Amino acid sequence: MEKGLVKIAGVKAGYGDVPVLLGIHLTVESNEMVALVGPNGAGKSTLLKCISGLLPLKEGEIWFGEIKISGLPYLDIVKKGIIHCPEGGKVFPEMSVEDNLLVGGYLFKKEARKKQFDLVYNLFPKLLQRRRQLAGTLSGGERQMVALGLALMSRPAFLMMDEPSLGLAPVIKKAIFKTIDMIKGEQKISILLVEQDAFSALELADRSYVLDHGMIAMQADSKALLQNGEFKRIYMGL
Amino acid sequence: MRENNIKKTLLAARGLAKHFGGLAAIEDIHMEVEKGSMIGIIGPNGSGKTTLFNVMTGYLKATRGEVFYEGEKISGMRPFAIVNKGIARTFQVPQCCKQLTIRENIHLACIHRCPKNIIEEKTREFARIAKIESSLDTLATNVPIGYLRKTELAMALATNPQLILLDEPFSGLTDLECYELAAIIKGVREKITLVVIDHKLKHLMPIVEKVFVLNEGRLFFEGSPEEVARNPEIQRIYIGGEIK
Repeated sequence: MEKGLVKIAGVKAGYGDVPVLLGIHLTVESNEMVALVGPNGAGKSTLLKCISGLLPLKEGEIWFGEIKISGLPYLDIVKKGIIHCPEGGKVFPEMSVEDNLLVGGYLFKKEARKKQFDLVYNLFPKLLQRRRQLAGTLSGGERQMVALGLALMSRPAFLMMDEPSLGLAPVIKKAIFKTIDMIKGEQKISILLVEQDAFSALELADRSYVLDHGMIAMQADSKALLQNGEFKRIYMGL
Repeated sequence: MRENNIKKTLLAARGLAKHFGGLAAIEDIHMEVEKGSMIGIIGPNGSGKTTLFNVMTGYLKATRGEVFYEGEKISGMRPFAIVNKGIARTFQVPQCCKQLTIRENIHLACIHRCPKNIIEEKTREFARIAKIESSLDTLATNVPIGYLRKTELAMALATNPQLILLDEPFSGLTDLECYELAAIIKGVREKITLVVIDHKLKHLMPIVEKVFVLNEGRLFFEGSPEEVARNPEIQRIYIGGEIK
């Protein structure tokens, strides 16, 4: 198996007795960006939780390169460079912006951390202005910036982003999508992008999967999916 | 205290400011919302949009300035008293009781507004308007965010308001879900004045007639959606080009 390749095979999972994922097969190649789109409640965030070890699988396996990561504690999964940026701007509210970012860079030495700080503050100058402010006192959109910054501080090999544009002003949203593209190109990382703005996600991603009611309803090259009349009608309301 | 200068004004802010320590989240905001209008509020993240809602609805105490509703001063009143006056709101992160069903959440909102024997009937009516009838028996924790946003709208309607403030109703929804919600919002605006904060301009601009733009806590611009979309400074600081 190629290094950096993520393979999800027959994954079933849910919460208590409620099944959410009904047998998912999905792959992400090295240096590939894959978008996962679909309606609310389809199971997109649940799948990310399964990959990062936050939710145990009921069936199936998840591989990262030649290592089976399903069943591993989430701490070990993070150490392999698999970083999950959850939806909803989840930050440590009682810590400053800078301390939040430090958590993301915890595994690195000072010099490497400095480089990551520069990258994050370059992307979000507002966080530099507010670096001493408690994250809990930021606006919703600013917290989203901290959550993304925290993920980027971890120098991910495989980055999972859950709704990175949620609650962000259009100009910041554009900057974030541009940055995601730049990160993918320059840092040679694999990305799995969950996004409700299907059009923006598909414009960026190499390939895309449509998840609906816990199943993969469609998968294709992103450009092909954007031309697909059935996809546009059912999932984009066009 | 009464304010009689403009009869049609439903909600007015006069020199409103809210400071958190040294940070001025909003500063010197003057704003009027006419009865029957549908208003959009946009602006960069951290520009004070939600703080403005929080001050107007009594969740935060203004540092300076006043809020008037139908000419009566409401700043200083507690949130439930403001709801009783006829102002309802929703939240950026839906605040439904997660361990109650959708039906029970709407019951809660109805409880002080209608006789006990018609609460269920009213609940069904608001659920039908918000298009969440099929989920009435589902726990709020188990429904997707689109349903929570519609539930909050149903709860707001259940308070029998004249004015609803919607905080990012389109956030977290797919395009298809946004179109559905926009249709629901357009349906309720026949009877209710609406003020909507959102960043999804593609969905917000077609349904509002006037837009207030906040920047760094101040009212930066007010005008029609077309004027806002054409304004080069707003394009630079907020939109990042043309609206897609």
